[in-house]
Amino acid sequence: MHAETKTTMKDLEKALQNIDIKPDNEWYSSTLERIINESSKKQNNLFINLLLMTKVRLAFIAIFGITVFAVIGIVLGISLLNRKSGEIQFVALSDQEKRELFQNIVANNAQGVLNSQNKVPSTAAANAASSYLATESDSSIAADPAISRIGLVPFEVSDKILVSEYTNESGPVTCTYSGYSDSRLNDIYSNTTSTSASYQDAEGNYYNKYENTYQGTLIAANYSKGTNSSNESYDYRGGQFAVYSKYEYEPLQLDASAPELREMTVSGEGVDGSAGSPSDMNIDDYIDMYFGTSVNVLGKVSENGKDYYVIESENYNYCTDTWVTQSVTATPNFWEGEGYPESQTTTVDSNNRTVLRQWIDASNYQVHKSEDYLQTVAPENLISRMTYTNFEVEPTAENINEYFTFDLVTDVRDIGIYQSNVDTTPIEYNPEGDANRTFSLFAQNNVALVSSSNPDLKLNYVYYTDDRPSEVSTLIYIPEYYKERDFFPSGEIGDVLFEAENTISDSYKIMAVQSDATPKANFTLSTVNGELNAEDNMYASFSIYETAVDDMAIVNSTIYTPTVSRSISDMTLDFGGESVAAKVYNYETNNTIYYSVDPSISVRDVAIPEPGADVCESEDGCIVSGHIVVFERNNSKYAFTLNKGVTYTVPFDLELFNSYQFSFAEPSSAGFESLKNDYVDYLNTFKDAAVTEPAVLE
Amino acid sequence: MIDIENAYKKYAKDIYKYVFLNVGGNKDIADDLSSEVFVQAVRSKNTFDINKGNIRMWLIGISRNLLKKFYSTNKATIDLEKVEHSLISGNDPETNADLIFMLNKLEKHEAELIILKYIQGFSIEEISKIMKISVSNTKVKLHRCMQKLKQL
Repeated sequence: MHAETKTTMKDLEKALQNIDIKPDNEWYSSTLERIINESSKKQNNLFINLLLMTKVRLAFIAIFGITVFAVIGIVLGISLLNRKSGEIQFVALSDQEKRELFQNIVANNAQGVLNSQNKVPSTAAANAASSYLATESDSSIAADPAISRIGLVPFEVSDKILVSEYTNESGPVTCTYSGYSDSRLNDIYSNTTSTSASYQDAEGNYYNKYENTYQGTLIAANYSKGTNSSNESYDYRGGQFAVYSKYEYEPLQLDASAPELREMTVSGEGVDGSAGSPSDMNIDDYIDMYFGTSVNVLGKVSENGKDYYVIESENYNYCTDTWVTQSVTATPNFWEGEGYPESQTTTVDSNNRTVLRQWIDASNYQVHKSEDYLQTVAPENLISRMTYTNFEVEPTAENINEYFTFDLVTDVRDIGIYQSNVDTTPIEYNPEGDANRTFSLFAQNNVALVSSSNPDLKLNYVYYTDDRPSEVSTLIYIPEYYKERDFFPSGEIGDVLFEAENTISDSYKIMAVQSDATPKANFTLSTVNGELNAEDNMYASFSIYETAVDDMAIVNSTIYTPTVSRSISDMTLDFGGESVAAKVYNYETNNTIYYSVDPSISVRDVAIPEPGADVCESEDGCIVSGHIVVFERNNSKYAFTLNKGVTYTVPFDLELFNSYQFSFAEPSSAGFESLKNDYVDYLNTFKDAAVTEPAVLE
Repeated sequence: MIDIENAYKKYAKDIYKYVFLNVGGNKDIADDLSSEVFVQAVRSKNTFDINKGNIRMWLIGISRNLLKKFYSTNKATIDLEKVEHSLISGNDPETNADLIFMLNKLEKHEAELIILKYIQGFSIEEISKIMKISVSNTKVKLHRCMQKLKQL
């Protein structure tokens, strides 16, 4: 991922996510053998210790043991005789049995029921955020069926229409719902009645319906139909119109010969750009998607003569967590030593979670009841309780039509067809074409590059943006129609829902890195000559901004860490005989990493720093120097740094600067063309080396 | 009490990957250390506490301690050129090898942040717990590390 390949951050993230390492079979078998040996060693030691004991001790232990067992037996017998209904009895399930249980739950419950286990309110913003959170916390899936979720699962599902009606009642804990403190929202979301139905036909077409009412007012309805190449949905929030949309993607390839374990291959992404569509998902992926990776089977419980499995999972604290509640619209003033607001660190609390406990009917695997708790399972921590009534309907054409046809009396706005915007076609590596495009953008905008007379310092990265999308818009997909008041019910309920949608939308923007200073161009000259040695190479990194961008915004968006000392000096710099009046911002930051090691993860024979110890991993210590030089020229603002390696920043060194003999390369000048030619040559060295080239500019 | 055999079945590959990448792709070292992680897990399974993180985080914690011990006694013995390509898979093993080479160029704690987030898939919150730094600090450092990686 060389800088000169113009990789976007997203490309880089994707490339990193693609890294896979597989240990060889020998490692697997030898490690398992070691685990088994180590486990048995403990047992052996106990046995040996027993043999080594004196007869007196042995007799004492025998009598003591018999007594203990007798007492346990009596207590157990009494408790079994007096076993109360509702008490959870532990049942030992193998991994495979647990897997089958979860698989059966997915196969025998309506999609909306499974989604309802995610208690994040079903708002557009929350869906966008929860889909982000799902990728962040590996928890459950986004709540909104309107956002494309492929109904096809890699195992057999019920051949009936699954219908579920459920009511939600609130507990003692009041949720603030991520920054929206109006208690009326809690009242609405905690006291709803819902209907959900879903059906998957033999061809894999998937039908889904979800309706949610509060005090007789329909506040949400979604109807969707998925095929192997599209997902159509109607989204309605109780207002004056509904919205129809269709999302198309590459057809799924299904192996019909093995329906019990059909392999799926999906290309493309969800409408929000997140991992909305499953790709090569297997059963375990589906289990993780619906239940989260923390799900566990607690045991079985008997209530009113029926047996239920009780499962429990931990989730992101959507209820009282505050870390997403702050809308940061500007970068903190790092230059003045300011950091991010302290309240954003509140999630460090290890108890900041919700616990979802679900009762699954053991006879048909349908969800019977679920309870959501803040932090731990206790009556006073109950957030909400859902109770379900489930039934199955024959999938006749008439019933399919009745359950899954959107027939609410309202205007329908067709917002068109989305198509997967992810081009998976391999992009041909074309250094000359890329360079021409980039350099012509510099020329069109009359922005000069900088060259050096020092032959060691060469241009190895250059980028000009003319169409960069904002980071927020790529991160969160919030339909425009959610910003229309008429999309929500009239009256007070609609007011609350409308305001909540937009308030929550704003609050989630903190997830995107906000910057007041986005450069229009970047380029780097370095001494890198094929050998990427981070220790020795010198880098001159230039960013070019509009002149209206404030120096402080540039500085703050560059240093990203609160400074501990700072100074500004005026300096005249020489660029090939042209004098430039520049401001030099020198600073120091503290890069301490705190290793307050958790005693619970102590391991024998391992040296562990004292809890709370400050560990400076850099050999240069915790305090790191840095600088940024800013000047204006020809309606552009240039900011640059001179660094040794990419990991070390240093104070500005005028002597070093002068040694590079920089000069401006004006568009259309010979120097400009020379830079371009050298740059193409440089890129071609990677082409020759057959380095795979990711595309897209940033 | 947790069942280490089950944990091994579920997380063996994850732990191996984490260790492999943190020792610069050296197979011999990765084989030894990642195997030792599970042996240590058996010995100290009583210390596992679900309230302090899930099993995977706990195993990563053990891995980190072993890596720290390894680096404290084996300074600068990692041969960056010795990336074991045969174990690297994914859609594009060649690019992956290239990326691993790049990660090796970063400071250890910088590479670790990136590995935890993008290769292991931990959330920012989980990483902050694993590395014992604040959530905001994790975000900032991660962003800076990615910028550095991007510049390589």
